[in-house]
Parts: sequence; structure tokens; C-alpha cells
Amino acid sequence: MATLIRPMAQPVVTALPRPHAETGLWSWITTVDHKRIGILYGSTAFILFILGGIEALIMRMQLATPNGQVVDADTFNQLFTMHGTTMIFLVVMPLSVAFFNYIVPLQIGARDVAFPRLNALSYWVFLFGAIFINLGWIIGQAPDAGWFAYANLTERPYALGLNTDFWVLGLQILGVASILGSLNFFVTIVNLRAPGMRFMRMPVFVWMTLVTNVLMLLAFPVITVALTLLLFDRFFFTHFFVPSGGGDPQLWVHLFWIFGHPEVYILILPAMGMVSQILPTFSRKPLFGHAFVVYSGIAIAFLSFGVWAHHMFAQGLGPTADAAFSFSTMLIAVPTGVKIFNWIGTMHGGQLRFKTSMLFAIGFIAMFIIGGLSGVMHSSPPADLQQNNTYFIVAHFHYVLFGGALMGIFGGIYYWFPKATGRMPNEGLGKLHFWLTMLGMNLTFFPMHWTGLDGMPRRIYTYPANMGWDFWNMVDTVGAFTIALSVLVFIYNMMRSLRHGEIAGNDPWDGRTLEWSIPSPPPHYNFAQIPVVTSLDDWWHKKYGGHGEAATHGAPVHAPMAGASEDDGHDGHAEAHPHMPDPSYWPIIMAAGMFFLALGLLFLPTVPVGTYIICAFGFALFVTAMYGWCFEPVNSPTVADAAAGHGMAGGH
Amino acid sequence: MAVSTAAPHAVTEEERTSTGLNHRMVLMWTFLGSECMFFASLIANFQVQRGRSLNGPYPDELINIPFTSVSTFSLLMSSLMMVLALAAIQRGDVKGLRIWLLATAFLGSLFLGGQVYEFTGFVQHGLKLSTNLFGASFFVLTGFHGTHVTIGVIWLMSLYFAAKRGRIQQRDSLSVELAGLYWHFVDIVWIAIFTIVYLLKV
Amino acid sequence: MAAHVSGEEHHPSESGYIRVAIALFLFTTIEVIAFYVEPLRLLDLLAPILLLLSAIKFATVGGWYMHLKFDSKIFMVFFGVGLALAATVILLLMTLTSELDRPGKPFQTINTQPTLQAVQAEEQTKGFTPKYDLKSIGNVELGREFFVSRGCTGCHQAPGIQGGGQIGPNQAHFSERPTIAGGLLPNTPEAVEKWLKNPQAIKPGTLMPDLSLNEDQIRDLTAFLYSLP
Repeated sequence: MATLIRPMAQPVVTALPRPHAETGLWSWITTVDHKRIGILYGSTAFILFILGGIEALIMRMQLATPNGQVVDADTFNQLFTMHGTTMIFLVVMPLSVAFFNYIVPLQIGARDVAFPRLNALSYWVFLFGAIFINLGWIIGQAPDAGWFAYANLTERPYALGLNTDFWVLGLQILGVASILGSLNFFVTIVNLRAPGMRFMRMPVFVWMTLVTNVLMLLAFPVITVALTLLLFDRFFFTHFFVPSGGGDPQLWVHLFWIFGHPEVYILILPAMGMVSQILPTFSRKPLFGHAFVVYSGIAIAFLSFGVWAHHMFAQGLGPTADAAFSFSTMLIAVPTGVKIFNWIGTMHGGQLRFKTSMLFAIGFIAMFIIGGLSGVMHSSPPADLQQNNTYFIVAHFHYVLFGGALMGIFGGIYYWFPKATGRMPNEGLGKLHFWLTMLGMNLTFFPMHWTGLDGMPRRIYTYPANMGWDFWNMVDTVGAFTIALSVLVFIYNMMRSLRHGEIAGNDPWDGRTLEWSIPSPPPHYNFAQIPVVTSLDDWWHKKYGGHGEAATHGAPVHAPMAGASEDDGHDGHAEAHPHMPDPSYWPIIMAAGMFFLALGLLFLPTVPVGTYIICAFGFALFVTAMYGWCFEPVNSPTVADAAAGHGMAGGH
Repeated sequence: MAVSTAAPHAVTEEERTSTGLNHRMVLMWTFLGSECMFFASLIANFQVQRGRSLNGPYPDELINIPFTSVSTFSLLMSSLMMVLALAAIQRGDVKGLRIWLLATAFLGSLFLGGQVYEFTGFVQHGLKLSTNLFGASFFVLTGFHGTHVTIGVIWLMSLYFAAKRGRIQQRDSLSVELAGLYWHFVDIVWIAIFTIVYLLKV
Repeated sequence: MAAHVSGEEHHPSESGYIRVAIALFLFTTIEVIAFYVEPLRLLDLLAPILLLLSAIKFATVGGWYMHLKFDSKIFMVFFGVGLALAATVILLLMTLTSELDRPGKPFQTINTQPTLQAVQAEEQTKGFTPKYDLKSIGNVELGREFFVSRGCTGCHQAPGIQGGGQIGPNQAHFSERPTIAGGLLPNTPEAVEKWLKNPQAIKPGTLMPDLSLNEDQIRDLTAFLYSLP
């Protein structure tokens, strides 16, 4: 969304007055502050996590006993589709983005992201996309073709209702949000690092964010095209994926997984980054082989585009393709294994402190190893043919996504909670949460390996008795409710700690990276003075002198003041009151425009005139917001200083 | 950066970037990298569907190479106009900028007009979106490219009117450069499409 | 920043831009001429020549007009990664989708031979005259389109239409059937239209779904059904 025209220094006539609220609802709606947007992302995603969790619990209730009667087959289809879509696109991704928002600018020593209003736009588009894709529940036609929506099931006549339309258009909106967000973070990390923070001095979490955003930038256009083709099939009667018209349903599968496999790494890499921050802090050791962790992350990203067809071994690609993709899949396990050894190496010989976030990080490693190993098993086509479409697959990806991504994210929440709120999370409740999660998730997902190898297909809404699956399915359901209990403990802990937690101080964990050098919660402008970075784990070295590793057992050499360091002095002018970008109405208006554009399309097959009216309204909102945005300076003219006339001020 | 020639004082905190490259330039190039994947997927779809149409009209019966060559030339030459517009504003020549912007937008519109004419002709010969896979993949690929050209023309005209009101000076040449990058990208995508869709048959 | 400014000074002059434009013009001309040279095509040389020429044009616009040759190499990396992956994905997808049904040659010849089904359908049509004046009912061709696009082929087969399921009756000899809707309605255009409009209202529980067609579409589909030999 590059701006066309530099804003004027004199007052500009815009359709809306500049928002000025600093507290209350309007301040959140118009905010462009990366910390607030991070909190919005996190809380929205958590609410959706509960929604997706409820969907999972209903499914587990249905499957607890043979011939379950809780829901019918159609509802079950909607439940598993929306559970998968929700957890992937509306929970794990935005939770990671919440951390990108909150933590990355703090870790690279920036005052905000490169394009603050674009950042707000990403959030609002995400929110509207999340609402849109869930609208189907209201009329009982939620998406029901599975989260990868294979072509036959999504084409008329097999999908005549609005179910798939909600899915296609909702994902299109969410894709826009992801692309905009990742462009923004990419530029932020490339361009807004503090002086001296060379690429190899960036914390691993920042590195993994960078890699994740590159993956998003390259993978999301593919799903955008795939969804567009599907949309044309459904609305304009083309035959891209319809065999009776000469089309190729397998092309959908290809396009989906060209996006889908990088997507898997988009989900896991941020959690890997978080764990790579937590382990060194609570081991009081630098990350073992920092460069190896970084390069293996890059290797994973590179390889992730070359493994997609391992999702298609059962589709008859032929021996050459099977062999090639089997090989590349085995290869991608290598950099992943490198990371695991690095994490274990970090803990080896360290002064371990088993705080809650450390427990989650260790739990992440253990669970991710199990999920990773069952994943490598699928790389062998003959084995995959047996496991394909069974509960074994369900077990595998839940170990990776729940035991991996979500455990890492929970670790991250406990780790950065004091930074964001200024209060410590309760350790006792936290540990209860951790152990309940560990117990619950292994109870739920481990038996699925057995039922899967025993031939229980995934996505069935019920099964007859005496298949030998009864007992373990009941265990799965008990485990699922244990996880639900653990989430309740987590919510209680967060609520309680927010009000009654101990005051945290700047650096409660004795951290290593820049975010711990500033107050908790950070001021609006983050850094009173932009720090100068001289090494990896710069804050640690500033605290403990040049040989931070040697000083692991000692007290800090001196306690530096926030933001000030002894070797500072790069730019003479101290910025006590840095100009921060002003809030803006345009992002939410533009996002609403996209929402109505998609909503209008829903009516195209039945009430075309409705389409024209609603789409025209959405388009009007979009264009108004676009031009309003372009002519609105980042800082309103009354407060903007001369800097308003500068290249960057034109913004985004 | 574009501002440096006119900025009266040293680099302020807001302008400092780690790479020395302007945010918006980095954003634009990254976006174009991402757009490559978008058009690659569309082209891949066209190639996969090639020769799978169950019924006519087939490409041989419809595609008019001389006509499309002319619109290809007009898009290619619009790229020349675009760099001349950028060179003009970098010299501080606002009048030159306006002339070349208008020329770029005109040639772009000419290309779009050609596309509308071509599409209409195809429809009259019985090729619609839903007729066969050639129609579907052809219209979707070239249609999305045409949409990009349309956005580009609107962008150029917005710049033109801004320049007319005196809102674009030498120090704002970055705004023109960004529009130029987008415009040239649309042009190079057409270079690929012209070869793959129109000329390659075997 | 300083580096960038000095880089800008090295951008080509305006006459340089014009020389580049002339080169682009020439390359495109060569492309178009090569297209008409039969021997090149016969020798399988056309595709490589065209791809090479367009790659040169691509690089020329990128290098000179987009200043990739002169600006920071970082831009080259950002754009290049996307471009390289894009090319890889196109080639991989073409290879993977061609391996199954046709042994892997990336650029396929266009199949202008009529399919077996089309030939058979044409033979069946010989000597068949529709029972009604189809033009007064609706547009047969549009109806044929709806028959495929609205998914009738999911359950029904029809002469001249490839594929088709076996859940519902085969629509061959449609006009010769005495009744429709499982015997509930006589076989007249009006009854067929009524049936297509809302099958469930006429025969609750029938496997025939409500296709939410509008009046015109229903008439076209009816005309198509009566056109079937």
C-alpha cells in the first residue's frame, strides 16, 4: 500500500478529523502502536482459541463412545473443518504475529514498526476475516470440506450451500492480512535495527520472525491464486478443478500444499524462536551455536518449498516424484534436528531455573521430538500409504502444532508477560497449567497413534463398537477435557496476575536481549534513546561486562540505567519526547471495505443485485480509506515538526 | 533517498534505516518479489491447463499475433515514458514529469483498450470464461494482469494530478520511483505472458 | 543513504534509456518474426529461442528501467528470491502434472482432435428430430453449459457430455420417456420446468437437489434435455 503522494505540511482536508483519544475504546480502534496492536492480536487469537477448543471438545464428545449421537455427520464436518481452519489461521498464526508485534521492535531497538498504520490495517483485516469465516455458523452453513478443502468436495454439485464460499472468501481476506503484515515486519527487521545490530547479532526470535515472514510472502500468493481459481469455479462456472470439464482436481492439491507446507513452518518457526530466547535466559548461558540455529532456520525455509508433494504420496504421482519428495522430506529433518541438539546443548551445564516458561520450553522440545519423529515416518511413501488419512496423522500434527507451536507460544506468554503488563505471572498456577497441559495433551494425542495404525480413519463422525477403538477414544476425550481444564487454569492465572501479580521491574528474568533494558510495561516510545548494539545478547554484555559468559555466577558488574549504556553516545541529541505516529481511522475503514466486498460476493449466485449493492458499498469504503490514508500525514500537521516533509513520513 | 537533495538538515532519527535504504523502496521490492509468486501460480495454472480443453474454440482459432504485438509494443514503450518521467523529476523538471506521466498513462490505457477489444472479440467467437479451460485460464491470467495495469494507470493519474497541484517536487521523486517500479514490473510480467501465452504453442 | 544517492547519479542518461527501448523493440520484433518462421518450429527451436529472448527483455527492463543494475544489491536479492522460486514452481508443477497422463514433455501440443465422446454423440444425433420446438423453450447451448457447470453430471449421464455419475437416470432418449420425476409428472416441458424449480416440493426426499436455478436457466436446461437423442 505504498503512498502515492507525500503529505503536505499545511493542514490537509480529509473526510475525518484526526482521532485524539488516548484511552478507551476509540484509542484501541485507532491505535497504530505496535504494542497495542500486539495485545489486540493476542487477545483476539486467544478468544478464537477458546472457540476452536470448544469445537474440538464437541468432536471429542461425539467420538467418546461408538455410535455417538451428540452431533450429526454434517455438523461434524463443519466442526473439524472449522477447528482446523481456526487453529491454524486464526489462532497459531495470529498468536505468533502478536509476538512479532510486541517483541520484535523491542528486541531490535526500534520505536515502532516501519509502517505503523499498515500494521493496524493488518490487524483489522485479520479480525474481519476471522469474523467472516465464522459467519457461516449463524446460518448453519459453516465451511465443511476440511481445512485443505480438496477440489471435488468444494465444487458444485458437491457443495451447493454457502459453506465453501465462506471458507474461500474468508481465507482470501486473511491472506491479505498476512501479506500486509509480513511485508511490514520484513521491512522493519531489515531497516529498523538499532545501530550496531548486524544480522548475526539479532536475537534468534527476530531471525525466525524474518524467516517466517519471507515464507508468508512467498507462500500466500500461491493460496491466493488457488482460492481465486476455486472462486471462479464456483461463481463463474469455470472448470479448473472439475474433471468433467477437463480440469484437474489434483492441481488444487498441488497449489494448496505448495502453500500448505511452508505454512506448517510458518506455524512452528516463531515458537522455535521463542524457545531459543527462553532456554538461554533460564540456563544463564548463551544459546549454543547461535549461527547454527539461525542457518538451520533458513535451511528449513528454503527446503520447505521443496517437500509439498509428500502430502500427496497417496495420489499416484509416480515413483520418480515420490522418491524425490521422500528424499527432500528426510532432508528437512536435518536442520530441525540441528536445532533440537542446539537447545539441549544450551541447557547442558547451565544454571537451570525451572520457571513456568522454561518448563513449557522443555515441554516443547520433548513433544516436538515426538511429533517430528512421527513426521519423518511419513516421508517413506510405503509407510505413508498405510498412515495416510488415519488418526496417526492427526496424532502427528497435533504433537507438532499443540505440543510444538502452542507449547512454545505458552512459554512465550509466560516469558514476556512481565514485560507487557509489569507484573509477574503466578508460578504455582503456571506450573499447574503446565503439568495439566502435558498430561492432557499426551492423554489426548498419544493413543491416536495406536488407533490410527489400527486403521481408524480421520474425519469420521462415528464408528461402530468392537473395532478395538472404544477404550482409546474414551481416553482421548478425557485428555481433551484435561486440556480444557488447563486452559481454564491459564485464564485464571492471567486474570489474577494482571491484578495481583508481583511488580516485575525492568528485568525480572535476568534476560539477555534489549527488551529487558526498558521499563515494564514499555513506554509508548519504547526506548528513550535508541541503544547502540555491540554484540549478540547485548543487554547481557552491558550488564555483566565484556565477558558475560564468564560472569554467569556473579552478581551484575553494575546495574545500568534503562536505555543508557556506558559506550553510548552515537548521536548527540537525546530524544526525550520522540514523535510517534498519530492514530488513524483509515485502517479499520479500509478493512471494513474488504469485508463488505467479500460479503457481497456471497450473494452472486442467488441475488446478484445484492452483490452489486454491497460490493459497491465496500468498494466505496475501500477507496475512500485509500485516498484518505494517502493524504493523511503520519503525524498530524499541528504536532508534526519539519520532519513531516521527509521521505519516510509519506509512509505506507 | 529522494529527499536528500532538498532536505536542509542532517538525517533525523525518523529517517535512519539500518541498510541506508528507504523503507518504502524496500517495501516495494519485497512486494514485487511476492507478486512474482502470484503471477507464477497463474502462469503455472495456464501451463497445466494447456491442451486440456474438451471443446473449442482453441487458441489457434482466436489469437491474433500482429494485434497483440502492437499492444505489447505500447506497454513496452510506456516503460520508457515512465523512466523519462522519473529522470525529469529527479532533475526537478515538474513539467517534464507531467508530460511523461501522461504519456505513460496514455500508452497503458492503449494497452488496456487493446485488451478490452481482444476480450470482446473472443467472446463474440464463443469463448467465455466457462466455455473451456483455455478460456478460463486465459481470461483469469490476462485479466489479473489487466487489473494490475488498471491500478497502475489510476496510480499514474493520481500522481499526475498531484503534480499539477504542485504537490510533487524534486524531493518527492521517490513517490514517482515507486510507481515506476510497479509499472515496470507489470511490464515485465507482460513480457513473460506474451511469450508464454501468445507465442509458445509447441 | 549516501551510497544510494551516489548510485542514483550513475543511473543511465535519457539517451541511455532510449537506447534500451530500441533494444527492447528489436528483441520483440525478432520474437514475433521467429513465431512465423516454420523451420524453427519444426526443429523444436522456437520455444528455446522465445524463452531466451523474453528472459533477455525481462532482465533488461529489470536492470535498466528498474535500476536493479545500479541500486543496492539488496533489492536484487529480495526480488531475485521471489523470481527464482516462481520459476521453479512453474517448472515443477508442469513436470508433476504432466507425468501422470502424458509422459513428461513440458510444452504440450494442443489437442484439436474431437474426443471419442463427441464423435459418438454426433453419430447418435444423426436422424434425431426433437419432439418440441426447442427455440421456443430455451437456449440449448446454454442449457448444455448449465448441465455441466451446475453439476448435473455429478449424478446424470447424457449423450455428448463427457463423464457423468450414475446416481440419477441417464438422460439419453429423454423426450421418449412417458413420465418424469419417478412417475409423478407427465413428460411435458411445463412439468420438467416445475420439477427443476423445486424437486423437493414435488417428491419430498428425492435425491434430486434444489439447484437454485432462475427461470431462464431452467428453460435453457429443459430445452437441452429435449434436445438429447
